[in-house]
Amino acid sequence: MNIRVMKFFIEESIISLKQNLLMSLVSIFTVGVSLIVLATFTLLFINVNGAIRNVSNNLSVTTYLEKNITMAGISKVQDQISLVAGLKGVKFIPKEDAWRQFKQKFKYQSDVMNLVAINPLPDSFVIKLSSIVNVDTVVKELRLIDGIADIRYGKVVVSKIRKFVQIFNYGGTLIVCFLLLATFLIIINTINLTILAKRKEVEIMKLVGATNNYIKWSFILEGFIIGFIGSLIAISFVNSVFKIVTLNMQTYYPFISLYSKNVNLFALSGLLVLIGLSIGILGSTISISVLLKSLIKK
Amino acid sequence: MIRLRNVTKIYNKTYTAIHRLSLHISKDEFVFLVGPTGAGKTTLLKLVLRDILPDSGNIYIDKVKTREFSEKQVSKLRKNIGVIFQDFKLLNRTVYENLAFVQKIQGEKKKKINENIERVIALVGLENKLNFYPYQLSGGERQKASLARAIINSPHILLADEPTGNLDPDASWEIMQIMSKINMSNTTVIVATHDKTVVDLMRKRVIAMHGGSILRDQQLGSYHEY
Repeated sequence: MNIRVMKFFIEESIISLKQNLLMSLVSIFTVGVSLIVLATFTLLFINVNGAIRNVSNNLSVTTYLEKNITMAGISKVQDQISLVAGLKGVKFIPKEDAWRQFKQKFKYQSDVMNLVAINPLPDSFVIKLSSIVNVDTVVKELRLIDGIADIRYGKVVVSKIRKFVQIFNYGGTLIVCFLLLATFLIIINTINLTILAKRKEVEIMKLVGATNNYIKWSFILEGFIIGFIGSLIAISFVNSVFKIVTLNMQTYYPFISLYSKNVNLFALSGLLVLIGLSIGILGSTISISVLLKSLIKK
Repeated sequence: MIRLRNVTKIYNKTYTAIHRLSLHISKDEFVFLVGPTGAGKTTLLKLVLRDILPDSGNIYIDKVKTREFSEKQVSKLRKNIGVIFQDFKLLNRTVYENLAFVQKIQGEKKKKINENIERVIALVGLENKLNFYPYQLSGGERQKASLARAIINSPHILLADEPTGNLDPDASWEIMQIMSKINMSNTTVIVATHDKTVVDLMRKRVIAMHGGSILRDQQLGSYHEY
């Protein structure tokens, strides 16, 4: 393809965009809005997922040891616990520390505290899990260890969170996929309408000798421009809103952590451009190919 | 140069537009196709342009069967045929852009494009309307723009479907004179028309059609048989 032909295609696509300015703007806007919805949902998904992961990360299982356990027994239990898979950390809490913490926690109920003469709390291990999903297996293995008298963890809460994580992961992925499909179909349909509006023009071009390739490339380039400008709109919007939201959250709600702030906005922008361009090019290619096929007369 | 052999064209499997028609048109000839509406004149032009294919029979251009043309060969054929359509079929662009388009697809350079436009636009007398869009032109002017586009690439064949249908007698005559001039520069011209005055004044070959067949084929003919 030489420079003159390239120039021809660029000129043709610009003429075509200008000719149907309203339709072209609608296509660009559709690409932009669809990508904004997609990016917003993705960021929302990342945030909720991050929050759930945070809860999961802080989940701990407390194992209470038998009351009359010796120091050697404690050490043996610790060794056995460390062999259990799926743990992030193990911390030993001596019964004296536990009692001190308990008293500190209930210092305003000193009357009640004074009634308790001896420390009723046992030694314990606080175990952090690498994932909430493994909790049942871990607890099952811990129960087999000699020296452990009781195991406590928020079973109901864990079960609810775990169910929610699973539903959210599957559901979120499904929604993102549907959203991607909807974005794809909406954009293709809009580009299809833009190209169908030029049916008569395409027919004339063919009658005066333009080859299918000449016509096709101009329209593909048009799809490229629509996809590119549309994704630029989406990028500008998402980046600006993201910055404003991050700043406001940090100022007014510092206790709420935004997990999406770790998202590489540059990569997200690149991805949006890639999706915009792919859909623009694919949409115009499909539409113009169908149109050219329909113009073949027998 | 253009030969049709036993050509039949049926639309929607029911309406026979051309029936077993055979015809030969030599290089540089000027031919009028006359006849009532539905006689098959426009269909004949469409067949030569290979806009449609015959149901049976063959069409040869320079001894080559057009039925077997690839998409690229069809484009090449159409680049060598100038067409003036009944409904003008101008792109929704300025006259200049319409004239430039047919040259750009030939790969012409900008300098040559502008020279050609200058030449044909002077010939049809639309020098002041180059930046006008088709909807800003009168019927006659659109026909002239359509003629300018048809001849800008110096085609071997010029097909015209009712080129004077929307014009007053003076403009009709002007268009015919331009086509006659083009014919003299080695272009075969085929004109489908209802314009009796023009046909009678021009004294060219006249092919009278009716019901998809040739009724009369006469050198230096007239619209009606006397």
